[in-house]
Formats: sequence, C-alpha cells, structure tokens
Amino acid sequence: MSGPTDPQANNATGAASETGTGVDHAHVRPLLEDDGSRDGPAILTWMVGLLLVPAGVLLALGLRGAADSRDPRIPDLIAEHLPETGVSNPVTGVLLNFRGYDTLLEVAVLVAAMVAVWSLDRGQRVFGLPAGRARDEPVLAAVLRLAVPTAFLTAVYLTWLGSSEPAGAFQAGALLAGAGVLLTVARVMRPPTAAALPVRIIAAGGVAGFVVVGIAVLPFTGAFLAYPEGWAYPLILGLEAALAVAVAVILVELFVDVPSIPAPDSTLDTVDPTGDPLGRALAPDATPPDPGAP
Amino acid sequence: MTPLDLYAWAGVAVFLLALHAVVTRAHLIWKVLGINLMGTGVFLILLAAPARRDPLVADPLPQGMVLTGIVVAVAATALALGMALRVMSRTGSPFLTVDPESADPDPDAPEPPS
Repeated sequence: MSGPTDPQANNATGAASETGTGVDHAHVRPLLEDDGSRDGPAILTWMVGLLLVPAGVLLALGLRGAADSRDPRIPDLIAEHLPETGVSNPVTGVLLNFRGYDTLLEVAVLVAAMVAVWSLDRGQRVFGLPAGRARDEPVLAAVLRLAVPTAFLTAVYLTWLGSSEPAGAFQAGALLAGAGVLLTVARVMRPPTAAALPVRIIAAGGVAGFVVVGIAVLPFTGAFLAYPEGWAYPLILGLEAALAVAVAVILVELFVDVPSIPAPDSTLDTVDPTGDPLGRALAPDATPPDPGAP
Repeated sequence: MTPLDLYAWAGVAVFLLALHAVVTRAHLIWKVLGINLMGTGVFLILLAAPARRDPLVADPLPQGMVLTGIVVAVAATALALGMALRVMSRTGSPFLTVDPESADPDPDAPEPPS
C-alpha cells in the first residue's frame, strides 16, 4: 500500500504485509488528525468559555442545595435491610436487589447499543485487522498464553466475589472482554459479528435471564424482581454469571464489530453475513440506493 | 473546603471543560470524547456530593448508580464512535459540515457500469 506509514503500524502488520491482506490504516490516519482549522473563530471559543463560568457557579450552587436536601436515612436503610438481599456487599445489594430495574435496563441499553452499532452500516464489515496469527509472533503468543487464562480465572473469581466484596458481573465482564479483544486483535479468534446467532443469544441472555427471573418470582412474592426469601443469593449469583458473559460479548462486539473505513484499494475479506436469516437481504450487493447519493 | 468538596468542584470543572470542547471543537472525535468526559464529571459529582454530609458512611446508592452510569456511558460512547466512523466512511471527512473540495466520493455509491 502506498502512502506514509509509521513504524508502529508496520510492526503491528508485520506478518500481514507478507501475505498482502493486511491494512496499515494509512488512509484512516488523516481522518483522525485535527489541526483545529475547522473550529470556529477564537472569539467564539472565548465567549463560550466565559458563558460557562456563570453556568458552573449556578451548577455548583444547585448541587449544594441538592446534596443537602437528600434524605439522610438512605445509607442506614440500605444497611438495615442488607441481610434481606442475600448478599453482603451493599453495592451489589443495591444493583441486583433494591434497584434491580436499573441493572435490567442497563443491560438492555448495552444490547440496544450493540444492535444500533451493528445497524449503522447494515452489518457490512471490513475488518482492519492484521492477517498474521499470534503463533507467528512468539512474544505475542507467550503473552496471550499468560494473560488470557489469568483474565478468565480472575473474571470467574470477580463474579463470585461480587456478593461480598466490591466486584461483580460488570467488572468481570469488562475483564473477559479485554481477553476477547486481545484474542481477536491477535487473530486467534475470529472477530465476532452480531450477525451470528450464538452472539445474539449470549448478548440477549443477560436481559432475558433478568426478565425470566423477574417473572418467575412473581407467583411467590407478588412483585417483579422481588426474590423469595432464601432464594436471593443463588438467583443473584446466577444472574451475575449470565450478565458477566453477556457484558463481555457485547463489549467485544462494540469494540471489534464497528463500521470500517475501507481503503480505496482494499483487499480485505468482507465478513459474510450469511447464516443469518436477514443476511441475504442485508448483503452488500443488495444495498438499497442511498437517497442522498447523486 | 474538605477533600470531598474538592472532588465535587473538580467534577463540575471536568463537566464544563468537556462541554466547552463539545460546543467549540469541530472534529467528531473531540465531540465524542467531550461527551464521555462530561459523564465522568457527573460521576465525580455523584460520588463526592452525597458523601459530604457524613464522609465516614459510604452510601451504596450513588455508587450503584455510578456503576450503572459507567456501563451506559460505555455503550453511548461506542455508539457515538460508530456513528463518527460511519460519517467518516460515507463523507471521507471527520467533520459534520463537509468541505466540498476535500470530500472523497461516497464509497457506498453504486459504481457506474464499466
């Protein structure tokens, strides 16, 4: 590929350049540079800054009032009712019991974000990843052999620890996602795509598990997501496990399965969206004409 | 001025500086980073402001809300970055108002038959 490349990009795609299918992202780099020439005039920048000073004073005064008018009994109430939550970590108790709705909708937001990112270009993806594999690079392979199992074990531990200490499904999910991104970038794992059915099932599993548990406890307690006595701990632990895996898959998706900027002379594999019932309608050759295009 | 006050004020400052970047910077990546940082400022305020009253009792409620907020912020940032990438791939420009001279042709436009 022509154009300037920096040593780092060459290093990252060292194995790729031999096979000729790698990208050095030289065509993307100019898009990420900003010399500020497109910003508004300096006077505007200063005026906005001056406007924000009184806004900041108002904000701080309002915050002081809001903080002082808070109900001071809330921490005591949480501490008092913590034994009923089935867990001993108050934050986990708040997240998965007292305010389980918040967490349910939070995972729903994650799934929605994944669907939205995937929909941005109707699932057409050209992955700008190096074509080489980790086994071609001894240092990378050694690091992966150490880091990935460690991350996996730590994630399991964090999920379990969440009931008693500051930890939990989202921390564990983030760690698992880190391992997943590492494996994907090193080309050990194929980049997951939201078009694949297993990815969709796991990603939706967090929300689905929450809804199923929430409805299943209805006959016993009469309220959505109100766990029956004695069942809170196993239900929360099960939900945390499902959440950790779902969060991990969604985060890897959000990191890897994003709209790409194909190079003009791109020779990359386009991920085939077949295997998906909508894949044929969404295949690149079936792209509907863009109304904005001339 | 306790250290917690300082955290709350720092949160306000981070929020406003980020808002300034969102308003004045034209580059889409700056705007996305600005929105993300605005959220970080809010988290700082959420954690510090309730603790002002009794710094010895940790209140799990705002902590839970911030944990939830972090995940939502990650999702929103990923979506915003995806949208920015999409704009770049469609217009060849990282700005919302495209300079007609520097814009590349639409890569998704159907190719003329050869």
